[in-house]
Amino acid sequence: MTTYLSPATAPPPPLQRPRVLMVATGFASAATLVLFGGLFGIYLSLRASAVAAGQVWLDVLPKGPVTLELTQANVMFVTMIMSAVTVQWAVKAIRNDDRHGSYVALGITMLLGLAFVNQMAFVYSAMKLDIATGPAAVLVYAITGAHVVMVILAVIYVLLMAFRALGGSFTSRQYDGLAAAALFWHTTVAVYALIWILIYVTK
Amino acid sequence: MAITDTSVSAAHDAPAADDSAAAASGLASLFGSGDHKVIGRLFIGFSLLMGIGSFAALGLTALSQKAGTSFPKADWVLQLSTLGRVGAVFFFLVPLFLGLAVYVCPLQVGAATVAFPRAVAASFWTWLVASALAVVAYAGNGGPGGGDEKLVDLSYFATGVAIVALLVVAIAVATTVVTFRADGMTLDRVPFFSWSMVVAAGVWALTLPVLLAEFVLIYVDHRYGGPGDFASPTKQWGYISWAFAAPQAFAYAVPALGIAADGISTLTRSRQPQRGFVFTAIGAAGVLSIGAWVQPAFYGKIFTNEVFVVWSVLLALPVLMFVGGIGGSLARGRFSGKSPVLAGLLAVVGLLLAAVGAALFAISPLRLHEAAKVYPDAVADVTKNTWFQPLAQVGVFGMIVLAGAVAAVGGLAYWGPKITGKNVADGAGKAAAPLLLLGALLFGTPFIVMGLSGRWNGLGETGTVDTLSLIATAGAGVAVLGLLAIALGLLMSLTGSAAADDPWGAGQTLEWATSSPPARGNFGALPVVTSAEPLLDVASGEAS
Repeated sequence: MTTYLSPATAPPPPLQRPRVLMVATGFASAATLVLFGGLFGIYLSLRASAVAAGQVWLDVLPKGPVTLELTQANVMFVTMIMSAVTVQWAVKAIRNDDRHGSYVALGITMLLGLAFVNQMAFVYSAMKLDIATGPAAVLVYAITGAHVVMVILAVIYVLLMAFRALGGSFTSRQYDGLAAAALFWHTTVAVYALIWILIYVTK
Repeated sequence: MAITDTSVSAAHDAPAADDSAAAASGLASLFGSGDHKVIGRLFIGFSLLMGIGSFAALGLTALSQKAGTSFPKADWVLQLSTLGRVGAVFFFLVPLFLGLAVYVCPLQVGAATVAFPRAVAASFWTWLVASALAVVAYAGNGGPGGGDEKLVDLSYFATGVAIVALLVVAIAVATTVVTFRADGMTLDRVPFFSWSMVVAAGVWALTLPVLLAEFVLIYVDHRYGGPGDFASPTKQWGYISWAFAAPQAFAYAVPALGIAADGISTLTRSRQPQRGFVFTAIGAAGVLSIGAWVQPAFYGKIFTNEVFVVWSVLLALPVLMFVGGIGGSLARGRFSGKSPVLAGLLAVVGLLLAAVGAALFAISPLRLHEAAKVYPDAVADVTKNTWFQPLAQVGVFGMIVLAGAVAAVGGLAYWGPKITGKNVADGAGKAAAPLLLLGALLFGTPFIVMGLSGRWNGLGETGTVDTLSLIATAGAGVAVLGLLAIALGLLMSLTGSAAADDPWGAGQTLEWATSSPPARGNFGALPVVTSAEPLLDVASGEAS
C-alpha cells in the first residue's frame, strides 16, 4: 500500500526553473573539452619530442608534400565565428520574443555548420597527408575528424531545438533548450580555435 | 521531447514521462520503457552478470602465471587479462553503480523520473549491445594487441561506445540530482549517495574522455594508418593502462562512499552529525581520483615523479576523513549488524587497504613500478610488452574494484526491498560482502607481492609465483561466489513477502516515503524539505 507524506500546511514556494538541458549540456561540453584536451596534450607532447629530436613533425610545403594552408583554415575560422554570432542571435531573439528572428538565426547557424563540414572535406582532399606516415598524421586526422563529428552533432542539436522553437516550446521566459544548444555550439567554436592555433598556425 | 528535455511537470508531478511504456505490456514494457525503475533494474542485473564473467577472466589470467599451466592457453592470456580489467570497470562496477543510481537517485531527491529518461533507456540498450560486441571481439582474438585486425577495431569501437553510453547515463543522473530536487532540498541536503553520484559523474566526465581520445587514436591508426606507434600491438595497452590503475581506478569506486554513508546513517538511527565533513570526504575522494594525467606511455618517469608520489600517498586521506565522518553516526546512534552497515564498513576497509597498496606502489625503493619477471616462458612473449602493467597496479586495481563491489552489495541489500518490492534476506548481503572483501585481499595481495620481485628476487622464483598465482585465482573465484550470493539473494527474494514502504523502520531520506516498489510518478505531494533527513522531520513533526 502506498503511503505518501502528508501535504504541506503552508503553500510551497514556486518551483525553481530546473535548467535541465543547460546542466546536462554543461557536463557534456566539459566532457567534450576534456576529450580534445587529451588529444591536444598528446599532439603537443609528441610534437615537442619530435622537434627536440630534430625530426620533421609535419612535412608541409614548401619542403614537403603536405598542404596545410592557413588560408582555408582562416576561412573556416571566420565561418565558425560567424556561426557563434548567429546562434547567440537566435538566443537573443527568443529572449525578446522575436520568433521570426530566432528561426532565421537558427537556419543560418545550421547552414554555416554545414558549410564548415564542406570546407573540411575540401581540406582533406587537398592536404595530401598520408595517414600512415606517422603519429603526426594520425593526430591531425583524429583531431580534425573528431571535431567534424562534433560540428555535425551540434548541427543536429540546433536542428532539434529549431523544431521545438517552431513548435512554440520557447518563449522569453523559457528558452533553456536554445541556450543549451548555443552553449554546445560555442564549445565547438572554442575547440576549433584551438585546432586553428595548434594545427594550422603553429603546425 | 523527453530525450532532449524533461519538463518541470514531468520532474515533479505524477505520472512520470513514461506514459506510453506504462501502457504497454509484455516485452514492449521492457524494451520500450523509459521508466527509471525498469532501466535501473536492467542495469543491475546485466552488470552483475558481466561482473561474474570479468572476475572469472581475471582469475584465469592469474592462473596462467603458474608454471606448466595448459589452461588457459598462452594465446588466450592477453585477451583474458585485458577483457577482465576493461570488463570489471565498464561492464560491471560503473554500470552497477549507475543502475542503483538510476533507480534510487530520483527517489532520493523526490523526483518522479530521472532526467532524460528516453536517453537513459537508449544508453542502457546501447551499453548492453556494445558490451556484448566487445566480449565477442575479445573472444575472437581482438582487444588491445589482438591478432585479428577487424576484431581489434571492433573491440575498441564497441568499448568506446559502451563508455559513451555510460557517460550519458552518468550525466543524466547528475542532472537529476542537480535540477530535480524537491522544494527546500538544497544541494547540501541531498542524500550521500546522490551527492556521491554527482561527484562521480563529474570525475568520470572529466577523465574518461581522455581514454576515449586514446581509443580514437589507436582506432584511427589501426584501421587507417600503418599501423604506427599508437596501434602497435606491443604498445596499445600501455596507452590506456592508466585507466585501470590508481589513482584513476578510485574514481570508479567513489559512489561506494555514498552508499556506505546512507546505509550506516539510516541503520544506526541517527542524524549524521558531521554531514559537511562526509560531503567533503566524498568530494576529496573524487578530486584525488582524477588520474588522466598519469600517462606512463607518454612520460615514462611518471611513477617516480614527486607529484605522483605525493598524490598516491594522499589517496588514503579522503577515506580516513570518511571514517571520521561516519564515526559520528556510529558513536551517536545504535550500532546495527545489518548487512548494509556490514558491507559499508567492509567496503571502507577494502578502500583503505587499496589506498595503502597505491601508496606502497609510489615508494620508489620498493620498485613495484618495475616489470616483474614472474611469467613462465609460455606466456612471456605475449606479456613482455603487450600488456605490460606493473603487477602491483593489477593487484591494487582488483582491490579497488572489489571494494566498490562490496559497497554495491551493501546498496543492493539496503535498497533491495525498494527495488524488488520484496523483503531481501539479510543473509545474502552478509554472505556476499565478506566474500567479496576476502576476494579482494586474496586477489590483490599476491599481485602486489609478486610486484616486489623486482626488489627481492626470491619472490620471482617459480614455486613462490605458483603459490601466489593460485591464491590470486582463488581470490577471483571467491569474488565470483560473492557476486553469485547477492544475485541469488535478490532472485530468491522475488518469491518472498512484500516489503513495507520503509522496511528498515528508520528511513531518513525520501525514497522511504513511497511504496516498495514505487508507483508510477513515485510520490504524491511532498512537503517542503527542511533538513537532510526529511522523514525524521516528519516523524518529529518538524516538517512545514
